[in-house]
Amino acid sequence: MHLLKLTPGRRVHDWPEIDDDTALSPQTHGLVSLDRLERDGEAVVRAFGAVGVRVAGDTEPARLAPWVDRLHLVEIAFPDFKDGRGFTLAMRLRKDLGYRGEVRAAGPLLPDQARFLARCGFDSLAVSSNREPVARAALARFEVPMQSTALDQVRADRPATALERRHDAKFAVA
Amino acid sequence: MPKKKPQGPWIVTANDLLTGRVVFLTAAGDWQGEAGQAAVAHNDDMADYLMDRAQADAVANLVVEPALIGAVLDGEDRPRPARNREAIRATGPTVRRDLGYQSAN
Amino acid sequence: MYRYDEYDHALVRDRIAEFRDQVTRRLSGELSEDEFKPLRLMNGLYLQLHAYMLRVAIPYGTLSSAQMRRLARIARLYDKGYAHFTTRQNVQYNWPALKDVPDILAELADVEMHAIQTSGNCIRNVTSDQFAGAAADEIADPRPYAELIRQWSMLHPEFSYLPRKFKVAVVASANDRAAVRLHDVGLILHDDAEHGRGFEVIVGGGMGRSPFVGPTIRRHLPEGQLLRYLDAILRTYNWFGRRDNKYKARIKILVHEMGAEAFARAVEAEFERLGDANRDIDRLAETEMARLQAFFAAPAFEAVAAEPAHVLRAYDQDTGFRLWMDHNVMSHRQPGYASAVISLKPHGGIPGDATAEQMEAVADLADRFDAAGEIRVTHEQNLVLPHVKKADLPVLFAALARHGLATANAGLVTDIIACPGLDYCALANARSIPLAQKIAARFDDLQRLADIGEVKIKISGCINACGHHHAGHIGILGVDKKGDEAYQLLLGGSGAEDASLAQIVGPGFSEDGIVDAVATVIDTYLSLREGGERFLDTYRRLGADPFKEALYAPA
Ligand code: SF4
Repeated sequence: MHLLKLTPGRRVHDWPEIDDDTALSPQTHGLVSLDRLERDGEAVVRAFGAVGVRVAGDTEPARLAPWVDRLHLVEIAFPDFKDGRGFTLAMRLRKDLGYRGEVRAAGPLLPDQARFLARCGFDSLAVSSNREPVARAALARFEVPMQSTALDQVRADRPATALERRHDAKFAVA
Repeated sequence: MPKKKPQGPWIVTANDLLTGRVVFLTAAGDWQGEAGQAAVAHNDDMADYLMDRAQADAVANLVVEPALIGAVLDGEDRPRPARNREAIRATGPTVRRDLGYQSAN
Repeated sequence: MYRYDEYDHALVRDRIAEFRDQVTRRLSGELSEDEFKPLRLMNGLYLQLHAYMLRVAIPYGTLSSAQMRRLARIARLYDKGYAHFTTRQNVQYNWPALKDVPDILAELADVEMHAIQTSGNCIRNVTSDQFAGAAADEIADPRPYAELIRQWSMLHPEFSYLPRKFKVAVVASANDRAAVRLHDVGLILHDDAEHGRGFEVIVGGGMGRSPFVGPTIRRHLPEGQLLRYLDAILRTYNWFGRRDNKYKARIKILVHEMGAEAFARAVEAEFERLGDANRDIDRLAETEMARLQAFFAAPAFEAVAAEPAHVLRAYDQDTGFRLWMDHNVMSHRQPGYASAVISLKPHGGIPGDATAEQMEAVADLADRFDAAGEIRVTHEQNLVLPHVKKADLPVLFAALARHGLATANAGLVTDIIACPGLDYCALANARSIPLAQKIAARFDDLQRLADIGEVKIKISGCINACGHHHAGHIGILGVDKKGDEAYQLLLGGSGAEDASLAQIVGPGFSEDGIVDAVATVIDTYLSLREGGERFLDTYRRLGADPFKEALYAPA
């Protein structure tokens, strides 16, 4: 597996995964399940310099709400590339909960989905190395989106939409 | 595709990946457009064998959606699909006899 | 009509490059069929009963003559010389080879067309009123709104992997010619003194296995908030829609299971959450609307006689022309103009099919006789020239007749909607097209058809209801009876503003039996109708009983 950066500017790297049964020990960063976080919350936050959590794509955003300020990574695991709830979860996480840390996509996604992921607020995608070129090509396609998403308004590093380029002097191409 | 295994004897059909055309697995192991050329399985072992070969060709990206279908044999032991649906699939739209696999077009 | 700018062109160009790459990866084996299938579907490519089938979008049913000519060229070069117009204002090719599809898409892009999102679990081609911009009863042209929605839905990053497909229809008149109450989202434009211009929003209608007439969840949505509200609906659906069972995954099931009020509350809450930070979207959408409306400005109409004398004379003298005028010519808001319905239902033909020659003929006639050089595609599988001078109607009629396109049956018994059925469709239980042909043979006399009046017969080859049998005054559903084709008869449906779902009358029929049954139903209606009642009016007044009696009473 390879980590592909979806948003420019964000530094991404591998996170060590801590099993639900492994004792916590101090480390710079660690990735735990949401169950573990809910069980040992304060201990997890104390043990790791930076806390990451892995959640399923259909997780109720309310479960993440108490933690958003203390998380550095949320890894959203898609059960299947056809299950689009992960896109909405990322959107809610950023837009409704104001989460600022990294959002990572994991699970059996297609590299073709890289750009959709980026536009829904994902920063990184775990992809097998032979599929990375396709994901990179996908990221470079559709440079000008036709629509704004709910997320666009809270995000500076986004592509200007066709609507904005057509109608907003700010984006006019000289 | 039928989920339950139909009544035998059987033949194996699929679509050609490149063109989408309906094809049938022959005894020689290649795929032909005419159901009459298809290899006939009279018992379960033979049916499994044909399907294994078909699956291998699906994995090799020659055909898609291989399926075992029931067949009836004519006087010269040539098979044709037993079910109405498969018969239409093999010959072409009944409302365009000028266009299907039955025609030269 | 709408013309692409650089952004639309770039998007379609990138989509072709992407699809070309996906096809290459499929052929090399890098993509398995399981992975490729949803990707090809999202670009309108199916594997049907006999071959691949490519579905091309005709957004809100509007085509230029140049586009129609290109559709004909594709039929001739890459297919078998014909194409099929569908109930969703799309056109389908039945025989393309996978390797040719990227080239076909490039041909389409040349004339600002595409196959994006014509299938798959995403937001599908937006449909609308075929008489938009011509109808006397419309508040405004609905197409600029439909175009706004089309662009918003194009490759939507959040809503391209929905639980199931999602269909939106927009109308702007009290007469619903797009069956909005039978869509995932239906929008009706209203304009009143109190609220100003805005939409009634209907959600969760649909046919198929579980048919529903959709409930209204918002009486008045200010037009500027349209995209934000759609965003809220789609997010609610994407999140809560069922993914455990594909037969329960449509939004209609969600709305039904939650209840329309609870669903509306969830949408309103989401809409609120989208609130202030997104006002910018509203502002841009409003500016964009002004740009789009300019594309749909009325063509330059000439000041011409409202009722030209030679047309009146032809009407009196030529029965064929009179029948065509009575049924296929619709009133226009501009004096001296009319909209002409081109029937794709010649008796004995295949409903919705047109040959490359016919498509080219229609393109030529649009150039010659339509004020905007436009053609419309209807959800009833016919074509329309929207803005024809009445003075030209006799010449147009004669020209259409030469190409087998002048059958005077719009809205009548033989104007049958029929899905492709078991002649083409991999999901079918039974054939639909031969039934339409047999019914047409039974009712071959145009004068008799005119006497019977409006009857909408709709035939589907399976429960998926692509032939809209639930919305048929008379609906026919193909079923599989132990390997044999059989048919159920439904009565009393409507897809119009008085939407209702047709109900099964009783035990099913064989292929010949169902043709007899339709004839019996029509005879029963004729013996019972009062005054100017349509079939549907008589049925609603009397209920199913007299029809059941006639159909099933022991002889
Ligand atoms: S209604 Fe059924 S048979 Fe007809 S086109 Fe749709 S899926 Fe196919």
